[in-house]
Amino acid sequence: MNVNFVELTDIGNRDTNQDYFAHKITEQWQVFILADGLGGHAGGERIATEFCLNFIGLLDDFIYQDKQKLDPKEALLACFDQTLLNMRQKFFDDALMQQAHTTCAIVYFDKNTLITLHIGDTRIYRISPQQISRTRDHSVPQMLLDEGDITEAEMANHPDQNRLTRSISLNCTHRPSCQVQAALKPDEALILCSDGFWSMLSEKELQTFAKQIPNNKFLAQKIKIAIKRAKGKSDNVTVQWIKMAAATSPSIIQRLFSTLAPIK
Amino acid sequence: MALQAQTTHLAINSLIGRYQITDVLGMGGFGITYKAMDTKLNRFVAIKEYFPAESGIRTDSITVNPQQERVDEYQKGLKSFLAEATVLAKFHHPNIIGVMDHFELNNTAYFIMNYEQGQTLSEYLKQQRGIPSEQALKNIFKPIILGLQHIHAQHYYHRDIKPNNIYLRNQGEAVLIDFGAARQASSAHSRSLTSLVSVGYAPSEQYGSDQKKQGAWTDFYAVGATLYRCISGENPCDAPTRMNALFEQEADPLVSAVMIGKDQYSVDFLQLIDWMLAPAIKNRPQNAGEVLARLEEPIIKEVVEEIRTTAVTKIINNRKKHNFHIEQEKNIFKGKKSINEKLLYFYFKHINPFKFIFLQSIFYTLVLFSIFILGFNALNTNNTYNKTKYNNTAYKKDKNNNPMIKISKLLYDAKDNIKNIKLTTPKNDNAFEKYKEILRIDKHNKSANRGIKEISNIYLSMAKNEYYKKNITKANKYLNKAKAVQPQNSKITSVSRLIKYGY
Repeated sequence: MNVNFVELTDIGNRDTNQDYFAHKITEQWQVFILADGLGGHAGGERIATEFCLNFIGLLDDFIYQDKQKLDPKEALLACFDQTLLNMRQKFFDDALMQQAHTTCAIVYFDKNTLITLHIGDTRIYRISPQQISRTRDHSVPQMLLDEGDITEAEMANHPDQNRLTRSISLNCTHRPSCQVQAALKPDEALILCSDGFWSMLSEKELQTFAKQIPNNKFLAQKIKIAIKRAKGKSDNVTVQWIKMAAATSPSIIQRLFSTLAPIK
Repeated sequence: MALQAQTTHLAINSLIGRYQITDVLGMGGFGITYKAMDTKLNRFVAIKEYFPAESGIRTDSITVNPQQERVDEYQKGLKSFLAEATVLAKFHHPNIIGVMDHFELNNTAYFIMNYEQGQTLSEYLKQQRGIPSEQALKNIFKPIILGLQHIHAQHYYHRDIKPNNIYLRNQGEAVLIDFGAARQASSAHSRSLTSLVSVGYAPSEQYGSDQKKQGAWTDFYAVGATLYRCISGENPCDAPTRMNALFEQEADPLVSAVMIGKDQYSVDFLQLIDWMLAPAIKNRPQNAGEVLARLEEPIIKEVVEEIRTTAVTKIINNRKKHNFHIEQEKNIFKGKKSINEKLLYFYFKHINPFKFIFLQSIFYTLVLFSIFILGFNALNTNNTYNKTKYNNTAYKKDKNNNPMIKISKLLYDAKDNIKNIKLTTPKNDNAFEKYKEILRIDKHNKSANRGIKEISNIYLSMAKNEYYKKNITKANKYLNKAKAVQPQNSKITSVSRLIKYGY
């Protein structure tokens, strides 16, 4: 399985970058994770970092048990729980970490399936040339959208945008939302991004990501636009852009030759 | 960002005006309540001090100052704290805490309330062995609703009802304390988890900053949640999670009161709790009168009566159109005592017997006509094709085996079974077997999978419930049932941990 991906982060107009991302790539499966520490509580930067690293570190143990591959959804949820348990033990006397909060978005995919796991308003977009779908935020604006009080476009600038209804913290036991989807197709792109990115770009602009092969230049340009639009008040901006490499199967000509070979 | 200040209360014996602090009664997110001695009148009072945990800090042992960058937030909160005091001072009701005085001092504000001996509902629940009886709960909550009726009439809302804010006097009725107005003032400073609401007790409309959506229904949701805590022993699931699940068409994560309090409380009472806990504003009680009526009288009889009376008035209205001698009829009608008598009277007196016979005759002719046509057809087809008879039976068989019809029938029955709490027993008539049968026909049926999850969740909450009542064996029994129904249910681990280790 060949995967093309680009990951970029920008501090925006803040003093610290509280976003963190990581990935793990094997021959059978890939996992990408992005966490965004909450500025309204202390220690957001640390908990985001710790969560990503701990989660990625534990993955192998959970996806394979006794050399057998487990159901990935179960494995991811168990790994999520174990990560938090480990962190609780590690930081039980750390006053700063006790009140830190972070969001997270995790995506797992292999040949057969794609699984998303998220808490908070860090989003995973699945973009195909025809349509675009995203994870549903755990935030007040999302709740208002569900009830039909506001529109999708109004979400980004809503006065309650800073109010989350779920987050990861050492004392909290919010559950992540988990979705199992069909496997990723070569013409589809995945975007994991923090709210500094999605609140500044329209869906139409995001759609353009499906048509390109992930490259630094294009992504850096979009991040610049996002920061510019925030008019000096930009949040940290972090994006992971993932696409399957198209030419994994032999081309038509190669196949033709291979079928002709025995005739020779 | 700086580390948040530790909430530090005033030292015992310190003087606030003429009041000497003697004890700390409680500390919340927005204020601290003390017991104090009024040195002038020589009696105890309760004092509430404005001290927001998020934006305030105590610089010396008495003065409170706002944290840097949070001055606006602090001042706004202080204003609404004083506004709350003035509003509360207006209310004179035995079930609303009375405010005697309020003043600004030490860069913060205080208000003075009557001190009464007693305990909060949450302390009461902790002391109680097992769950309180229905009568005890009604005795606590009827006065509370009366208090709410009083303040709602003046378009004022409590906004923070929970077991901690209901105070049970040693002598006398329950009283509502600690209004949540101060919470409204603080806006989200920067991105954070909503800490302004009491999780589990606040309905979804309180999570946003738009206050127009809040009303009497907001308080009733909180009352419903408080009652739910009383009957189940556990904090109710938070509103956003419920909304999320409903939007994704999953089962409601809050197991209904009717289910969780089955056999221990009357159905009427449990239905009232579920009514108050409806996620949508429209589906909740809209005023205190509605709640009081149902607290006092059984619901079902009332509803049935209502349906019957409307049926009767409909008939009367129809008659009016046809110019019958209504007045005369009404007088006879009044003489009939029960609704049944009334209905029977109308049936025989007013549904014109001749009209009835006329309709009947039309019906019979239609039946005869159709039998005639069918018979003719059958004769005809028998003559021409010998196979039709066989085909006919095949068709009938096929109709019975149509999987779609069967599945929808099974789903309907299973839902009915869940309503009647026939989850895995009795044999041959329970929801679980029916869902399993559906899955045998259609492996990926979403509704069936959802149903099985629901059954498992119900068992888990029953297990939790038993655990809180300290029936460990029963709790384990329910846990095992939940495991048997759906071993992969992710909640099982947390519940089994709770039963084993108590957290």
